Amino acid sequence: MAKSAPMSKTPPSLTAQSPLGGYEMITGGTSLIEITSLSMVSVAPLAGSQTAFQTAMAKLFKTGKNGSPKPKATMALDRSGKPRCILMPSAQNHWFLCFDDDGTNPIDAAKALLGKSLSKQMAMTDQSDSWVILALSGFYSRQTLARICPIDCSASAMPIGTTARASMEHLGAIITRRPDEGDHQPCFWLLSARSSAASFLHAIIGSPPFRN
Amino acid sequence: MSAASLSQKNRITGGLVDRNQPLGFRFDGQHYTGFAGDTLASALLANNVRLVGRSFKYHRPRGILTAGSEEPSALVTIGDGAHQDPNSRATTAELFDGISAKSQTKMGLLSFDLMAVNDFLSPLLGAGFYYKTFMWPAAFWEKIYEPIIRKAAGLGSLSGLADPDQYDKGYLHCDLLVIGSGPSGLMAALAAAKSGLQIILADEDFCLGGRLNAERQEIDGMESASFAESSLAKLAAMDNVRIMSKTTIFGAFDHGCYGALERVNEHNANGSIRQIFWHIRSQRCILAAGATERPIAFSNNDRPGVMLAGAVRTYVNRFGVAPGKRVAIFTNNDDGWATAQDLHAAGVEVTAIIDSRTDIAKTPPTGVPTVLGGQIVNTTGRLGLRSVTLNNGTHIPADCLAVSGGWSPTVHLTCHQRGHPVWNDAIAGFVPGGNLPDGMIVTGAANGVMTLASCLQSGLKAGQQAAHDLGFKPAVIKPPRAADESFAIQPFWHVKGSDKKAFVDFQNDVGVKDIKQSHREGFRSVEHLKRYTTLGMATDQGKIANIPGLAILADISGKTIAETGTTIFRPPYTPVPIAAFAGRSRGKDFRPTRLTPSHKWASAKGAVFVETGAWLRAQWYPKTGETEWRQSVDREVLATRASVGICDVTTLGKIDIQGHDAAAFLNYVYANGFAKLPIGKTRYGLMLREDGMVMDDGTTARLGETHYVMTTTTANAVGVFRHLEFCRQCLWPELDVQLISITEQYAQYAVAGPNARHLLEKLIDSGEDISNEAFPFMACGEISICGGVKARLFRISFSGELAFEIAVPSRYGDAMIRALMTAGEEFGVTPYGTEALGVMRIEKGHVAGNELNGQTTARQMGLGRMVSQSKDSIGLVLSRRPELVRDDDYELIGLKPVNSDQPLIAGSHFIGIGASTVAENDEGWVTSIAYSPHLKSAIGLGYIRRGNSRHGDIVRAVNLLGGQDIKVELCSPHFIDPEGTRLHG
Repeated sequence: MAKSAPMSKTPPSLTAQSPLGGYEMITGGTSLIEITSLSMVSVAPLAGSQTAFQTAMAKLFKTGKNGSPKPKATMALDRSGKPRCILMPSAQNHWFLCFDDDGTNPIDAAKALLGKSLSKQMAMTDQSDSWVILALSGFYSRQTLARICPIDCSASAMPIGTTARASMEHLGAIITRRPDEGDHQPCFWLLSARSSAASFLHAIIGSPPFRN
Repeated sequence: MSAASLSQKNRITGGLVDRNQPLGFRFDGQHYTGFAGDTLASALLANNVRLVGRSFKYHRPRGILTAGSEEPSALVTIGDGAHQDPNSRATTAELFDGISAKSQTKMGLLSFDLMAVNDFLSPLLGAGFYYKTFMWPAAFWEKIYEPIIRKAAGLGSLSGLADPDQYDKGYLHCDLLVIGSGPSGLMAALAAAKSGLQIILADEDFCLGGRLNAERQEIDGMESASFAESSLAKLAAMDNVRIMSKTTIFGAFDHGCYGALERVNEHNANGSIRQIFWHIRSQRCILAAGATERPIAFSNNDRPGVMLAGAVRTYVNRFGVAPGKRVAIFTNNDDGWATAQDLHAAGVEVTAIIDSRTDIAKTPPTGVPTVLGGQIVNTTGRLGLRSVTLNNGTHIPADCLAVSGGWSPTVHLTCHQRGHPVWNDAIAGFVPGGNLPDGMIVTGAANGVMTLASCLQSGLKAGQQAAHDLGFKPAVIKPPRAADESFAIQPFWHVKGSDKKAFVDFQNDVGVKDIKQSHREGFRSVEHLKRYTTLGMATDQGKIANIPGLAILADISGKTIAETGTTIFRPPYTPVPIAAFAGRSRGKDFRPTRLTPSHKWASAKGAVFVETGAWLRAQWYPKTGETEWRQSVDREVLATRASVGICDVTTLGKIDIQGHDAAAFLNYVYANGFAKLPIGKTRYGLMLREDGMVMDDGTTARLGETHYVMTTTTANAVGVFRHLEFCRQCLWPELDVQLISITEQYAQYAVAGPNARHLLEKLIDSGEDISNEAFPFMACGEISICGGVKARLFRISFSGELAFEIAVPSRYGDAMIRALMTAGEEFGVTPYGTEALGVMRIEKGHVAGNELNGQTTARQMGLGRMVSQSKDSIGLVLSRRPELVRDDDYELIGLKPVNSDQPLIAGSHFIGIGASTVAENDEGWVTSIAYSPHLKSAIGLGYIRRGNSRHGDIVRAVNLLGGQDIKVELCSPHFIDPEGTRLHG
């Protein structure tokens, strides 16, 4: 877009809002907390780049040869051991890359994570504002899921790091099992569309133990 | 003995009821007392209540026949008002304190039912009675016959009020589902659980153990009920076992999916969940559903007090209830003799054992007379059994008759995927055929194994087999010590010559004579028999009646039972309330709602919303003093065209398209050319279906060398995305294209009107230029606004005005609408809703959903020349079909009423002046209508044959449903600014 001479006035700044305003509920040793500080970028290797991408992912995430993340290895760490990014497979040849939102433009941040060369071979789309992410954790979290999630979320069927797409109460959703929290309590992230976040939340808290 | 026990005349010692927990209940207004652990049936019997209902057709007095879910007669209504639950089986309803039940199918008192006159008229009311009697006059059927029949027939009735109870649904997964917790089911569960499988053990009863609780048998030196209790305790202690009582597995579906109804708080929910409908997915299933006893047909075999022998044992052994003081037994198998033993042991007088067999050597309990080769030909007792009459003329006193016609394996779930059971002579019953649902193993009595030790072993083996099949090492378990009781049977279905009121299906009042009549009148297959006589219909689905019924049919027709076959068993095994299927999907939970980022702001402004798919969109924004919607909409239109208006267009579909072949891809999916769209430009695109009809329209902007953003209509957002994925994955997998929806990612606002640019210039960051020269019509690009927020700006217009659409990440959507409105104050900015949007697009002649309804072509819309003939695209070839290019085709036109005061009705049809209003004279139809505040007249769009050449013609717009027939003038569909001066401004 062409640039014109600078204008004298200062436009108002815009305040960001998360889909559920930072929702948080803890009951019966089970918590449901909205994750609000995450950037999310969809990554899909363009033609001819699948191998390069998989190699890079294997290095970053210690994934298997087919590019799918190994359980417990979806969180890439930086040199100091801090979480760097999470990789969630979302479709064939398609992933979501999640990382802390430090204010950097998500696409720029994703490019920095993947490196300049690899980034050029990727279709990357900002999805940070497309999803509501709710972390469900604690003792009864699987009981909650049993009322809304048609897929098997048991420890054996869904090891830590597993991601799956599912339909929950007529809403498209993504479920990913995160590392256990204190005292070996399971933790799941549930993702669904931002516009229907209130309905999604209503469905979850309509399940035990939140319902009772 | 406690007072509670003393008040219960038929309560004897023993059983699994808790005598320390007396429970008060009412039946037909009378107060009674039972104990925790009772069913309603056992508590009624304990109180010597034998008459519990009237039969469906003849209104004959009926009692309790069984002790389980197969009960055909003891159907009662439990609860009052909105909680009223009809057709509850007293034999499965768990007693709780304060339960209130009523008998049904009666007129007046239960003991003096006025409709009992039907019993006397029974010779007139046999099978096919309706079909034969109500043939004439035909006009009487709907208004007279049917209402009378409906009133007279039927079982219990619903309250007609909304169900106040809560229901839910859920999903469970396991390696192995064990259905039934009798001896086989328990052993299967133990073997599988100890082998390490994740198992679910489900049983419909509230007290698990199946027949182990109903019999007095010994296993491993303990009573069978104690063995059940101890086995269940072992299972409950294992982490890999989920025990589900009160849970009926009602259907076996594809891919290891089973439907289950858990009655969590039946009739006693008090605000908590009453029932849960579970989808259970299991790799293997062990069906240990046991067997169902069946009656023998003889005259008046339905009097209250006549009961199946196994049920009599259940009431004595499990509930500590004597179903009668003097019990006679009629049997064709050894089971009847076991009943005598148990009754005798419990101190109940057995007045006779009547066995239809002659060549048996059985020892009765001391002092019990036996009649070998005996048959019961009749009974006495109007409201309850008094005596039975034998074929030798002997009368035997009895207030309870225990009948056993043998046992039928409960094969229902084996047939839910079209499996056919096979006849087994040894047990005189059908056993599961070979074509079971995938992964199902049948064990125990359900598989024709009819004795205790064999059932225990068979269950154990089934559990081990399931473990082995799933790659587990089967646990080695020593089979418990138990004896095989004697089991011998000689088929005997009905007493010949004793056909009068000899019932086979107690729920539908179908007797032997009805079956004979059906055969006589040509309804000779089991399926025809069922439909003609109603045998096997209604809530029990003939669980005890089907086999005797078809056996009698086989006898009459001279065929074997195997040749006669069975009807098809379909889900559900027992009735499932519709409410349970609905689960929580009611009210607010019926379906999800999508909200745009400006929703909260719009709500505060008092916006009136409309459902657009799942979205809620602002329809208009009423202001103080506006009393009807047109005032608001007219104001919004006028204000927008006069200065500037803002509309939330977030709901339009947005698709991010990237890849080296993105341009080629778009060139294929759009009918018009996209190969040469420059970076920074947007183009209107028309998408055809393969059949050449228009599928959707929208714009696509080129943001970079290999990066495009497509917009779709709100309605087709999902459909277009799905179509593009199909094209990408299936039609042209060689193209390098990636797609992802970004509908949710951006909040998008249309800013339209002469002051649109001035408004936006107040928000864009310094250095950005959106002048007409720098950012002309159809330009697009990224822009920094409000101090660094990265937005996307499109110079596109649906209203026909100078307009922009600005998209910001959704997190800023709320702040953006507020900033736009604040910035627009000096221009008198107005928010406008979908109605004003619709008015403006009709004024401009832009097509929308009404015009591209899937049945129209580009040519009809006046967009025929957009379909490029110089490149291939989806729909191109078939858009050339002769019928789609005929000269007299429908063409888009505008219209307005000749009398501008008259409104238009969408959907009206065009009929020529003077022509009669018949389909042959139909020339086209009105697609969209609006009131144009600029033209001060209703205007519309429509299709009419040769429309382009008919501008100025007067035709009639006829709407028979709306009662309108008015003259309209056809005109150009572009009512306002046909030259496009405004939007290029």
